[in-house]
Amino acid sequence: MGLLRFCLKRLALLIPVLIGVTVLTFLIARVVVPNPARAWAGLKASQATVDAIAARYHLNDPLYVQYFYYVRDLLSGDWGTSPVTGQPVLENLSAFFPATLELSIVAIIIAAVLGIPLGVYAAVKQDRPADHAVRLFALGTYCLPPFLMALVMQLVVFYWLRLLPSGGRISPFVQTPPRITGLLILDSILTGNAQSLASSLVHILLPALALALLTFGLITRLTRSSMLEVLRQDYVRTARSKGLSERVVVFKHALRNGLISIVTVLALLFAWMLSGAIVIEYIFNWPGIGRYAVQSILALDLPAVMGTTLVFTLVVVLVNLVADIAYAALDPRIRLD
Amino acid sequence: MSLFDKTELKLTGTYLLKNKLSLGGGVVAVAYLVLAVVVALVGDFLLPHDPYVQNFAEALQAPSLIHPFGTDDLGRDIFSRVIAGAPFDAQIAFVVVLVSLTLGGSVGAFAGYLGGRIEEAMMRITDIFLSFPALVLAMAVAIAIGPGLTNSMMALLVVWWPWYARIARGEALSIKSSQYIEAAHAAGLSEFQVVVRHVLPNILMPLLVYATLDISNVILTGSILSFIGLGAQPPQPEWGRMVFDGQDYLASAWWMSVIPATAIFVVVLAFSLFGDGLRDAFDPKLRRR
Repeated sequence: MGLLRFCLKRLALLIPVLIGVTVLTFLIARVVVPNPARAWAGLKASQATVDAIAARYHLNDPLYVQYFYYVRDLLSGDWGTSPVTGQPVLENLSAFFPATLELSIVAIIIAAVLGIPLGVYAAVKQDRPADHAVRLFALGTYCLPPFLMALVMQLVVFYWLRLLPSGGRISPFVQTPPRITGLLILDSILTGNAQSLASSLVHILLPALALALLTFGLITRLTRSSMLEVLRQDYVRTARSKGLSERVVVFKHALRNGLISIVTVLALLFAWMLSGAIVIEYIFNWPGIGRYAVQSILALDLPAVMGTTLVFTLVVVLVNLVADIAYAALDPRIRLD
Repeated sequence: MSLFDKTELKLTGTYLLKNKLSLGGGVVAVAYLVLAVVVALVGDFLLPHDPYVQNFAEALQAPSLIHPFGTDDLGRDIFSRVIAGAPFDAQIAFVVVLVSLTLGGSVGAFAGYLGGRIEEAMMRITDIFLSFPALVLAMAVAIAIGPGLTNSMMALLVVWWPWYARIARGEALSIKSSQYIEAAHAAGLSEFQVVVRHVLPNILMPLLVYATLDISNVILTGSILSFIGLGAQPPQPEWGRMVFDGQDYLASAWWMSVIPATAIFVVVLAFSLFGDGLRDAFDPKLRRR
C-alpha cells in the first residue's frame, strides 16, 4: 500500500472517532448535567435567560435533534458563550491556544534533549548502577504531581534565588510584538524585536522546564526500552562485528530505529503533557488554555470547560493521526496491514 | 498465569524480595494504607492537634517542634491535617480501581470471549473514551455533575473502566481457545457460566498486577482534580486541595502547599515502585534476566 493510500485510509478512520468524541462531549454537556439549560445559561441567570438558552440550543428537543444542532454549532464556530465572562468560548480558546502551543513545543524540545540521551545511556549501561539511577530518576519525575514541580521551582528559582520571573508570558514593560502566529518567540524573531524575544524566552523558561521534567521521565523510559530491543537485533551485532566504534553503532545504527517506536507514543506523550499544562499554566499564570480551563472550573463555567475538553481532545486525536502517518512513512511494513 | 499456581507465586515472591527498591515502595504503600484505615476508623482522636479548629493566633507558623509541618493561614496544624487527609486519596484510589476492575474486567472478559458484534461494539466504545486525555475527560464529567469528593470518584470511574475492559478483552482472547475452556463448554456449561467460572478467574492475575500499578495513576489524577477545585471541598483536609489553598502563601509559608504535595508524591512513588516490581515479577521473561 502506498503512503498516500495509507493516509487516506487513516483519515477515513478519523470520522468515527470524531463522531464518537462529539457524542461523548454532547452526552456530558446535555445529559449528565442535571439541568443543562441552567448550566449553559449560568447559575445566576434569570428564568428568561435560561428559557432563551434552551430555545437557542434546542434543549427541549429530542436528543438526536439536539445532537444534530450541537454538531452544526460546533462546525459553524458557535461553541457557546461563557455565562461568567459573557464571551464566546471559541474566541477565548483561539486567543489562548498559541500560548499553550508555544509552551508545549518548548517543553517537548527540552524533554527530548534531556530524555533521549539519558534513555540511550541507561540502555547501554543496562542493569548497572547508572541504569538504575536513570530509571529511578525517570520514575520519580513520572510520579511527580505537576503542582509540586511547579511550586518548588517557583519557590526556589523565583522567591529564593530571584533568578527568573515567576509568571506571565512577557514583561509588562516590554512592547509585545504584533500578533502574526501568536507564538511570542516566533513573532519576536519575525519582527526582529530583540527585546521582546529576550523577555519571552526568560518568561517561558521556568514553566517549560517544569512541564519538560514531567514528560521527561516518560521519554527516558520509552527510549531506554526501545533501545534495549534494538540493541539486541542482528543488524546491530553485524555493525559491531564490522568493527564500527560503539558510538557509531549506538547513535547511528541503533538510535535511528529506536526512535521510530517513540513516534508511536507521541500522542500519549502529548496527552500527558497537556494534562500537566493545565496545572503548570495555572501556577505560572501562563495565559494558555490550561489556565483558562482551571479558571473556568473554579467559576463553574460549563460551556468554557466543555470547549477546552474538546480542544484538548482534538489536539490529541490530531497528534495521533500525525504520529501514525509519520510511523508509516518511517517504517513501510506498517502500511501492509 | 493462574491465580492458584503455587510455584509461579513462589518464584514471583522470591523475585520481589530481591528487588529492594520495589519492596521499599511496597512497605511505604502498605504503611500509608494502614495509616489511612486507622485514621478512618479511629478518627482525629489520635492526632496531636484538631485538623479543623482554627486558631488565628498561630496562623502561618513555620515548622517547629510543636507543629512539625507548620500551620496554615487559619492556624490549623498541617501535620495533623496531612495525617487526617490520608484516607481521602486511599478511598478514591480503591473505589476507582476496584470498580473499574470489576466492571471493566467483566465487560472485557465477556466481549473477548463472546467475540463478534458485542466485541466490536465494546472496542469502538472504549476507543472513544481512550481518545480523551484522562484528566481532561474526568474534568468535564466532574464539572457536569458538580464538584465534590464522591463526584470526582464518579468522574474518574467514567474515565478509568475502559482501560480494564481493554486488558481483560486481550487476556480473554488469549485463553479463549485453551483446552480447559473448550472442555467446560463441551461439558454443557452456558457461555455465562464459562466466563464467570473459567475465564474471569484465569484473567484475574494480570488485571490485579495492572491495578496495583494503576493505583498511583488514580491518586495522581485524583489529586489534580482536587487541586483544580473539583474534588474534596474545604475544610476537608484532602492533600490536593490543601496544595491549592496553600499556593497563594508560597512566598511567606511554603510548607502550606509543598508539604501536602510532597505527601502525594511519596505515596504515588511508593505505589509505582511496588507496582513496577510486581509487574516485572509476574513476567517470567523479565524475571530470569
